[in-house]
Amino acid sequence: MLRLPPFELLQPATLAEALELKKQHGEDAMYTSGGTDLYPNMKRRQFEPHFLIALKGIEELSRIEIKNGIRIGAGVSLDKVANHPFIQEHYTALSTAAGLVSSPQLRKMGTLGGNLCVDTRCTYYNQNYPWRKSLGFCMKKDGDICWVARSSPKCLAVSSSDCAPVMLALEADFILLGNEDQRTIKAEEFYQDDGIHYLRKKPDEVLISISLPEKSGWNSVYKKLRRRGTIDFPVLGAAVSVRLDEDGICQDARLALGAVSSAPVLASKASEKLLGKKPDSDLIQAAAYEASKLAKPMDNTDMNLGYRKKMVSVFASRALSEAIAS
Amino acid sequence: MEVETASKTIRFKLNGQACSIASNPVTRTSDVLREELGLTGTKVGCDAGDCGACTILIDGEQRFACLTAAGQLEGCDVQTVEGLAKDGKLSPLQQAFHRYGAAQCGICTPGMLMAAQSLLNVKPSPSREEVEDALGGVLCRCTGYSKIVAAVLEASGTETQELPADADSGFGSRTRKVDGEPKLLGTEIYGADTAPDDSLWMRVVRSPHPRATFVLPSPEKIIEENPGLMRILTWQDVPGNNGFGIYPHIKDQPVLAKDQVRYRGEAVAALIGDRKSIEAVTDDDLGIEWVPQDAIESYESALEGKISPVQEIHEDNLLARGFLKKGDAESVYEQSLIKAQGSWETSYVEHAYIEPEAGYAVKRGQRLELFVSTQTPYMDRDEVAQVLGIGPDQVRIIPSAVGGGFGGKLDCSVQPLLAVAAWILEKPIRCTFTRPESLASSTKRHPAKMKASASCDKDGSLTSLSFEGDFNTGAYASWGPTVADRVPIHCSGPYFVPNILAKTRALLTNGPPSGAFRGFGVPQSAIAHEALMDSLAEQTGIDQLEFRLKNALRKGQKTGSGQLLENSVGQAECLEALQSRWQEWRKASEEFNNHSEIIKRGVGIGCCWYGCGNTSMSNPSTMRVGINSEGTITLYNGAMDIGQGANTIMIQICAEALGLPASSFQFIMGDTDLTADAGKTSASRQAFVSGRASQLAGEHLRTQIIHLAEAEEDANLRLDGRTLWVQDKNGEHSILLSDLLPRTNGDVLVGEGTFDPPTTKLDENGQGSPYATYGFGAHIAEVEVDLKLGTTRVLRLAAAHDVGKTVNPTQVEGQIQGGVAQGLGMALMEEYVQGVTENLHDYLIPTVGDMPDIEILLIEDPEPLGPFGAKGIGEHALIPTAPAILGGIRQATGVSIHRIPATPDRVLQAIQQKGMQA
Ligand SMILES: Cc1cc2nc3c(=O)[nH]c(=O)nc-3n(C[C@H](O)[C@H](O)[C@H](O)COP(=O)(O)OP(=O)(O)OC[C@H]3O[C@@H](n4cnc5c(N)ncnc54)[C@H](O)[C@@H]3O)c2cc1C
Ligand code: SF4
Ligand code: FES
Ligand code: FES
Repeated sequence: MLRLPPFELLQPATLAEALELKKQHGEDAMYTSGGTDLYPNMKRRQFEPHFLIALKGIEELSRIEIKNGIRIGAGVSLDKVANHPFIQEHYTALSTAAGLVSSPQLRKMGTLGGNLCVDTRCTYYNQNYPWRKSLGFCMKKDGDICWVARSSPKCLAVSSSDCAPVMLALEADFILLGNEDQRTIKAEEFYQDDGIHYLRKKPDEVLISISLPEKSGWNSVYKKLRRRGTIDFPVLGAAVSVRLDEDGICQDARLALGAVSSAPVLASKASEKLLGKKPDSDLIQAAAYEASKLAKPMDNTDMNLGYRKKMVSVFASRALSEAIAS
Repeated sequence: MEVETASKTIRFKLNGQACSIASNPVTRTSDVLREELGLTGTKVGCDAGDCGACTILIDGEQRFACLTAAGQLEGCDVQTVEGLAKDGKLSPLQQAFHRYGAAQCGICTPGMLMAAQSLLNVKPSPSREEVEDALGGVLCRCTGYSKIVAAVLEASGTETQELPADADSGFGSRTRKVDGEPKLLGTEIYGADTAPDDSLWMRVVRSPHPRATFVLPSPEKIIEENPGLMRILTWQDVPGNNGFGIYPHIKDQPVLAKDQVRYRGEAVAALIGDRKSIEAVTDDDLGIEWVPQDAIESYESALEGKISPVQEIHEDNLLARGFLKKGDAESVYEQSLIKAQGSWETSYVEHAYIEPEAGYAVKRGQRLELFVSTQTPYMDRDEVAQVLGIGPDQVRIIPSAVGGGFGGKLDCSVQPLLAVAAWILEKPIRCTFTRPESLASSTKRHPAKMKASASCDKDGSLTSLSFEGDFNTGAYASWGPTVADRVPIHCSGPYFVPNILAKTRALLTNGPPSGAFRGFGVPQSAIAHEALMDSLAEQTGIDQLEFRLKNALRKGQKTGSGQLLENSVGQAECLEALQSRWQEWRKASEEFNNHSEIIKRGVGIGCCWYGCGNTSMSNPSTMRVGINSEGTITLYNGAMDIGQGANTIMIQICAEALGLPASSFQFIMGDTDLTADAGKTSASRQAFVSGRASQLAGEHLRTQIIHLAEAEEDANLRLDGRTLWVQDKNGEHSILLSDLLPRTNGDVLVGEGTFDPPTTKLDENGQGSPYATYGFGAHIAEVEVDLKLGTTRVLRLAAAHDVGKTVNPTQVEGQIQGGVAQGLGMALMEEYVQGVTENLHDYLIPTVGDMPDIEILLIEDPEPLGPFGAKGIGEHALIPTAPAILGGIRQATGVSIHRIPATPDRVLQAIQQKGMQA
């Protein structure tokens, strides 16, 4: 049996209590929502918090509010996100991405907030303790070197959330509540390209909700590359949202990639290519090629690096074509 | 900082009843259910969200019990598999599972049932797609998912297959599994599900290095500091021989390593104590000083001799060789105008049974009793005896229900360690491997590096075939010699080839030991011979199926080893059965391709043959059947049921021979004190060898009854309570069973049958009759390849197998569907890499969504030696799948894949390389 390290589960009923507990225990405490990412990681000793603050019981995190777009509580389960009719209609990429996360059980347990904060991944790191130890620990946990690129000053573990790139494509705002204040930041500012400090979130801050602007007239698509039809993390994700006028001229476009670096990447240059034009397959190819320049996959997930790099333009172009055609 | 782990009262509803437990709220729900509440129906296969075996319902929805903290159950409605049946009556869903044979080994069944139930709760009539989606988080390694999906659809009334409503139980019928109900109720007891209350736990400390020397400091201090830790066992504690292995003369794998380790995952010490303590003491705490050494990790380095050999006694790292020569393949090939050749490399493949290795041992007087998940109780008995230095009669093996084996539970895992611990501590000891531990320490399918060539004349008759194969047998022998022997015999495929040259080597490396995995090397070599057949067919302009049909082995021909095939050679019939589909599918895929640029389809074909039983070796089986004074018939079945259904078919066969209904039978399986030695559940031998022994046992009992009643041979028997009625043309005779004197086990009449399939030794050219019979088969697979992604999907597959005679169609189908799933995994995704794929998240096995529609065609060319004509199917089912899929990829893309599995990156690379050449 894989054992969890000893810890204590704290179950606050309100956000205020949760923040208070975090203040009290500081670095010794971590938040958890569904626990589907954190528990397996703890079993591998990637995290050893003494206290877990369960956000699951906090009612206000599980609300969905439809007003000038939509506001989705961070505690809403992925299953709900995937099957919510309004999200399916107006934010198709998001319902698709949520529905493609792992397996049915996990989508019932895992939350949108947890998914957006999910730990970065790397074959050297997602291993149990004795293995990491025998190889020598890496800088993400317990060590000071990166086995993927020894000269790298930072960890290159991969952002592996399905929903994160979608948030970039849909211009989401993340609402964070900390002991000091509540603030709203853009999705792309929430992430940073550093495998260890992959979130620009202060440790005490709780992601409380995600706000998506009104998107009528937009089409959005999410495409995920993985080996099997279920369970697997994305090896690559491509999220697109576009708005065309009646003549098929592209008014607006956003393309974002997941699992290509330690943060989801917004491919602005690629989408700019489409603006004001009627995208045909050549133009889509060109945009996709532009996007692929941003991808810097490393040899630290499933499937080899060269392959993953090649797939970026294929996926970007498929996602764009589908969004434009629909 | 110490964390206080206080208990709290948690209240929830469990299977309809109010439940209140005092538990630490961070305890996993799976632990609470299994250990605190004794509900072991919920299984643990990975403990990490990867396998779904622990799926339960919380407020009606499916959740992982292994990732749910007990504290989160407060106020919830929890449902486990134990809550499905009402008043001991199976729920409609469970009944459907039972009828369809959807539970084979049954270890995934509770999770499957709960996942399906969660869907049916909200969607009483789901579509097939919805069912597949709902089951997407539960892995099954046995069934290939077909029967599970069919059962869910039937339970919901959405689709019903044509199955006799409630099949009778005779030979050839779709009798439901005799051991099926407990698997559905969650009451079946697997290796991890029970142990004496006062058991201590064992945790094995393993090498993190593929090769290293080490010093283990004296454990006294740690034991002193940890009162719950009773003992740390090392090699010095092994009372008998510190070595085990499959072959009587090769006991090369230490129970606990002494001074050096040869693969990552090798056992070096075992901690014994209460559970909390052995888990709290980390490997680090032991302070083992490791000195890692250069490891042999490739064929080249095994052969070069630059690094010191893996085992001192095998200087050249050569464990075994195999050889077969018939005619003069080399010169025929030279002179031939139509030739094909190629080389292929396959990977380590993991059995990935969902039940990790588990069991307990207890010393009773001067005997050791071992309860364990195993495929081979008698070998375990002898192995444990020699490790303890005691007689085999001092060991009793009681097998648990086995949650999948596929060859992986033929080798010892927990057995010797538990035995040593229980013997010297004189306390019951239990152990369950973790998933990473199971993956790292258990045996695998041999990776192979193969070169082969073949030729034919211009009419398409094969003239020669040469094969050279190196098989990476890992650090210890395990079944390596078997693979080296078996492959040369089979590497020319089920074809008549006049000239054959085959050379194999089993090479030692610092990888995990390669052992037995469905097919003993034959699935690897089939990839080679089938690719050659395709190439020769193409060159001669003959259709690939016709080419195979033309060359198929037939009665009256001799095999590569010179064995005359006299009976039961259904290869041609298998191919003929597939002919119309083959043409139809090929045509359909061509039409599809005419309109599709990026997605291309292709249909491939693969054939197999496989000898049932051990190679050129006596491998007898003895079965016993008895009737007691109450009129209960018991089959003492030594043939382990590991999910394939031996318990059921042995009873069907024995009942047929005896002339009494199978429903009046009960059985005892594999207990070495109660059953006779039926040999291993391996080599597709049980249905054939033990089946025949069951038939003989049934006949033996029948003869005695007829004798007692002084009736005619063809009399009808009828059992009515304690009275056995025997009716012949002279009238009815009765035997009052309670009047007879009891013999063994309270039985008043006992029949016994022994069968040892006739074989001969092989000479230095590999000539002889190694097997008494062979099974034959062919698969065709339609695949779809995305030329830009390199991804392959198998759309549909048809499998034709000559099984001699079908004992139970449901079970044969189940074997084939499961074999296809493993073949598909081997072809497309499965690749074990030491230290990288040591969990079910990175080691990928097919999920429900990866499986195609499978159509099954059973060919019956009876085998006179088998029970009523039957022979084996266990391994045959997997062999043709990978060749058929790889052939399909070739057909779709025009490229051949030589490095297996055909992962998207490999397929894409091959496509792009070809594009560059063009
Ligand atoms: C077998 C398996 C397969 C998986 N496959 C996928 C996949 O295909 N795609 C994918 O995207 N993910 C996958 N995951 C990862 C993960 O389970 C999901 O991303 C899930 O949505 C995480 O949500 P959670 O609520 O369970 O997060 P938790 O495990 O509770 O938390 C994850 C992290 O986020 C933090 N956190 C959680 N909620 C908040 C909050 N409100 N505010 C601040 N911090 C918070 C936690 O401290 C923790 O660091 C997989 C996991 C497993 C075990
Ligand atoms: S990228 Fe480097 S530092 Fe980061 S987890 Fe992998 S090996 Fe460790
Ligand atoms: S045991 Fe829970 S998912 Fe495998
Ligand atoms: S029946 Fe599913 S794993 Fe054995």
